[in-house]
Amino acid sequence: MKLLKVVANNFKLCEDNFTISFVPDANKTKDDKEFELHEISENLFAFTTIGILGKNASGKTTVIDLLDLVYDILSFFRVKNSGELFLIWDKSVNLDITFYHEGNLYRYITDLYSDELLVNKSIYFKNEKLFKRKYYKTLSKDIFDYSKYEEVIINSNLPEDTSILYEILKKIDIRGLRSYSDDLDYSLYSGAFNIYKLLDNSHKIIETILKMFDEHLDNIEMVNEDKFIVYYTNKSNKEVNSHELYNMLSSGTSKGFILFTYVVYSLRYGADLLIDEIENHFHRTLVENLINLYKDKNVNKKNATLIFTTHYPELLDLFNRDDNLYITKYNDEIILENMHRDYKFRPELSKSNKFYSNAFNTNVNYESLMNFKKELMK
Amino acid sequence: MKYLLLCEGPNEVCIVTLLLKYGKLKFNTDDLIALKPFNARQLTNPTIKSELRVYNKPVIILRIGDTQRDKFVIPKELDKIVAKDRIYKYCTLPELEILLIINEGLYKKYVKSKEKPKTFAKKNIFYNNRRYDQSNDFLLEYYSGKRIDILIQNLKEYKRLKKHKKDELYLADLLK
Repeated sequence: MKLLKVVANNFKLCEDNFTISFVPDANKTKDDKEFELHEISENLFAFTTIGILGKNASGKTTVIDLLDLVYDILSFFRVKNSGELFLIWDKSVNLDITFYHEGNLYRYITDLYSDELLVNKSIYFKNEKLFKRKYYKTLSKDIFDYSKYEEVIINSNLPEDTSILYEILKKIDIRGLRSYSDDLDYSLYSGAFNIYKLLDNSHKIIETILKMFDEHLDNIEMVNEDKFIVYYTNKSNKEVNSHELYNMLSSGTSKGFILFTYVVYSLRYGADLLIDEIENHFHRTLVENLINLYKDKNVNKKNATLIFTTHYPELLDLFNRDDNLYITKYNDEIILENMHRDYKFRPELSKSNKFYSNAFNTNVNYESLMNFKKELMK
Repeated sequence: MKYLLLCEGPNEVCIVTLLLKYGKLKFNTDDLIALKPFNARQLTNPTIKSELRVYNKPVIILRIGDTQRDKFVIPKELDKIVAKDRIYKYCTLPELEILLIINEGLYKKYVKSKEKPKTFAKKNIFYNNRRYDQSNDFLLEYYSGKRIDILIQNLKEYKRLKKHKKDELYLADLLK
């Protein structure tokens, strides 16, 4: 399954037909196919990374919220994690989602609404429709030509809070995830360790991540939700609860550990990763390295896409294309512009060495970055 | 010091990756920027530039391809990482397919044919009932496993047969 496009209406303060596409519409160079694009199926390409740039309060997080909602539906067939979005919202939201799955293109349309009278605050699906078209390599330019799609009639007795996509995708599977490590809180450690359970408790990966942030740490083991053992490189170890762990690790180490845990999951299973304000997490060298991991086919083997927001136009210098760059603007409503579609030329964003020279006055250890990458290449 | 390995095309990447996999080169993947060879001729790509900045120390650049007559441009922002006198060219002239032609004992026939190695190889080279098709799959099948030693022999034989210009080194020079 690969998400290709989302069009939303009535979503928060977004303009009508608020659209984000994962599919390139500019020319594709040899270089782009190497770094910027996944070939999902023959001649069907999707971005390896999408950057969303905007000022404060311009709607960047709203884009992430929208995609988080979409991945909720595509993963669990319910609105699970992003239900609180509807608490202050009385209108129904309309979503129009196009995705690729097992040789077919699908278009799924639904209204979402919350019934506040109910205690459980469930989000319901209404007016759902599903259309399908077999994908052929000759269709690559017409994938969003919906006139050729045929409606799929699904006769099922699913509860109102469950999407009919269950009938197509069948298995609950995390198809996109959002890293929340900017509001750090100690309960997130157990969340991160629970991800390792899904990764067969790979201690080596935990070790390589920790080493990127704190060379004194050898490993951390979760005994239960509130009991951890910290192993140091000097061979000592200490048993702590999650509060103590939170106080013991630097905030950079905690943020990094949690975020990179999501990265490992995302790359291993091809789940897309959403990161809000990527530069807030840590040092820019690490940010660059993280973005490069998604552009490296030796690591990103399952077509995961990294979607991040940033305040820093400099980060966009890492992109070779324009159509995977979006700009949010807020003026009565939130508008999402595409750098390729809406700008005739790419503004010469400050490509000064300042950004990079600042970046390298620190002691990020290159070898530890590569050790982590090696684990991911396995 | 680490190496940035720039290969001219996917077939060069494939050959170098095979040599790395079987530990036949003077260096291994740990010695390479980003732990892999890149399919690129120049330092224009933002991902390659970024990989160099993340490393942020001087590197040696190894360019692998055929003639490589294009001028190698060092972007200003990388001048502390990339130096002119640490860039080396490793050539396989006139095209990589010459290695397969040598291996099949078709070198004389190829010279007579006056065809490009690619064209000649597509017409005359078969392996496991498969015609040479310029694909990495073919090269992998042709040179994998025990046959890696054949590749080594071909690289050495190529060096014996061909005389390069002074600044054009041989892939055989990178062998252990």
